[in-house]
Amino acid sequence: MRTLASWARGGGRPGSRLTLPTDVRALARGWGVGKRRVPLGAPAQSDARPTHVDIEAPHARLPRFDIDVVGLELLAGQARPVIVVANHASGVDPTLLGQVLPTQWLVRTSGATLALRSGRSVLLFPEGEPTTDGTLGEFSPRAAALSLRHGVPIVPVTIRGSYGMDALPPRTSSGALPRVLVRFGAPIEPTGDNPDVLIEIVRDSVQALLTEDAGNWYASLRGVAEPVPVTGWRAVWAAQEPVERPGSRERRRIWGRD
Amino acid sequence: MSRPGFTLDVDERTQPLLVAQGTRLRLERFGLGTHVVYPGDGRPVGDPTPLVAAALASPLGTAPLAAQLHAGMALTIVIGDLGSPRPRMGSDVRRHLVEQVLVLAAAAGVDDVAVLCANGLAKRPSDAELTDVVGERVVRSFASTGGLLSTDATDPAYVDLGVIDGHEIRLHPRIAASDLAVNIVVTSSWSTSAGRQLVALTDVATLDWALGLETSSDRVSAVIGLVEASVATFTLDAALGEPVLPDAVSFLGRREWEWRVRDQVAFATARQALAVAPKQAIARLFSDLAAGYPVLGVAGGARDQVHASMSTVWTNAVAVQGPPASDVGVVNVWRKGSLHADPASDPLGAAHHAVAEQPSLVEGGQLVRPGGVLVGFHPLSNRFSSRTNSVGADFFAEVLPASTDPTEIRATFQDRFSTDPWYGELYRGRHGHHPLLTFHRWYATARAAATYADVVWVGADRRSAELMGFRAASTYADALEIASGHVGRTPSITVLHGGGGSVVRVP
Repeated sequence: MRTLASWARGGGRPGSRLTLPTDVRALARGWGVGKRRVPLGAPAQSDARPTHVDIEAPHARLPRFDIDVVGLELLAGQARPVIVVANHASGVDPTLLGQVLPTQWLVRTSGATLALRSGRSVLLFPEGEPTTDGTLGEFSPRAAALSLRHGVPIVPVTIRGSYGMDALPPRTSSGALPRVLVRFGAPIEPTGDNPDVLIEIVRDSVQALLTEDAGNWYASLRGVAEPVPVTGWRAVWAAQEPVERPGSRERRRIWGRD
Repeated sequence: MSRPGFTLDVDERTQPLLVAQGTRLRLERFGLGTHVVYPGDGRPVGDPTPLVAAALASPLGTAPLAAQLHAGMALTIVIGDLGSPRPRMGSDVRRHLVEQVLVLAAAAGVDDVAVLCANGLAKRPSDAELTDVVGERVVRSFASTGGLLSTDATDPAYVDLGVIDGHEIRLHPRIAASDLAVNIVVTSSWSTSAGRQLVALTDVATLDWALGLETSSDRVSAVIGLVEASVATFTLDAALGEPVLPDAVSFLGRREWEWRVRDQVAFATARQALAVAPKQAIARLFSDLAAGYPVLGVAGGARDQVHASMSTVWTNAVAVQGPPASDVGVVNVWRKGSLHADPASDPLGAAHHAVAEQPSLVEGGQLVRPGGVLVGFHPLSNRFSSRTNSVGADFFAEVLPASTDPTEIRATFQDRFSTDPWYGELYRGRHGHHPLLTFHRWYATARAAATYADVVWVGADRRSAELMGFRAASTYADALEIASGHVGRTPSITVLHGGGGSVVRVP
């Protein structure tokens, strides 16, 4: 065994637990009026200094929802305003999305033209009313027309888990909050000049996100995912299926395989 | 265009400069004539999607990836080094890389796909850690089908690949059975590369032979060559620029004389908060810290050409012209420095980062002349993560009190630690590091430390410093007093500002 020096003990202790007064004095001495001098040879300050805006919002928790958000990374570097287009599962969707959309988008749900002109993003539900049977309804071409007119991309979004909620769920002390999953898709750039064609592309994208959400992404890419029921009581039943935690290895199933 | 890094020569006008000491921050006044190397400013973070698509469609030295994919093949996507970079990427570019490869694979009708994390001797990642890196879509697509894997270097199912210098090289069975391995890496330092990631696919004996006490570039190259001879590979590499920190801590990357009032307030508030917050809260704060990393470029294709291209892009973007080799080098530790995200814990990790990693990011010469002194800022508290690094705690308590000499440690302790069933269980099933990782890192630390006359830690635990063969000083001035015995009373001093990460070009 080595023999350590006899004085090799102590040190590494945390300093004072009250640092503020010392720091204020030090900052006043070094950075006070007339003391902010640029050292010789230092490059001039850059005006365009980037700041990092963290667009991640995984597993945000609303007071009455257990909400997960996936796919925000697809929006990395998106500096322009966008039109967020979502399926309309329930009356609480605007509240839900308002909590999870990147704050820097300053999303508006009304006055779309004015908002886009002033550099703000817009949230639209092109189905108009919340779905009554759990299926994805027809899309109004308004979002596509706005996208073409203003040259801004459309971001498809799906909400699962809020179907049938007309109002915020009651507070609960048990911790068992309704689980909701918000999934973002890749932005769709405005192409062509026909809003009806563009809105169909957007609707297909939202439908694909719903399929991906109910199954898995690679299976939906391969075209081997189980389709989401689109008619009858099975569609209503599927819309009420509990949402899984993102990244979970377990798959809870209501419908067994045939 | 962001500003490149530069070297400040401290004069009478220079304010006290920010120093990070693990999780603590302080302002330190450096002596006149001290050279302080500042990294460049971060660049705006853009959308990497078009860069990745172009790299896949126009690769270097191989056919486009789409042309190499076909129905019925076994495709493995290899990722690795999940602990890099630090701070972690807010939006990990590897998600884009993996997803675009999978889009091509789906279009080609590939059903047999696996995503394999080549962690080598580092801890096997949890699902949550994998989700952070490759995204929820990829994890959910493959986790439930058994296609989401991480390497277990102790698994006896590894297959024989061949023999080099009488040593058997064994490879992960999924790679050995693959028709194509797409090797995905990010270049943010010199320690990560596509070749190193291929080595991480081999078994524990091969890893020890290639990266252990007698490591050499020849051994590493030989293993890479053997792996590449056994399976077709396609490398996809993204070079990352300097991180852009969140607004609340942006003062950490801002030059002190450009601090606005809000930066001063943020600094004072952060210091006060770090002084009173519980250790767990501080650890959480640092592990949650995420930064934006601009993607400087993406290249795909043959490994050697891709590596050369991305290394050049990265080096040119982060290089700073520094002074000639100094008598004293000064480093601080906060961006990295532990085997997990808490820079305050793990004195072995802090020493490895400060002594072996940071000074090695030099081009053309050395940061400190042979026989010079290295001064580090870190508390070196005797704290280790009991979950991921209990080996480190035992290494500190049992091995270092007996010897700091790598050869003696190798002969006396390494085999016992690496075959210990409890450490094996921690590595295989409980997200702990393999014992050999701690040993290999100590060998690298000791090798690097031997080039200095002394390594002195400011504000460090004296026993920890003594155990590792270093010295502790209460203040920076005391550290220079200790150093003066080797370098005289008017040494040249170079400070790496900002916790390292830049490449210093030494004339």
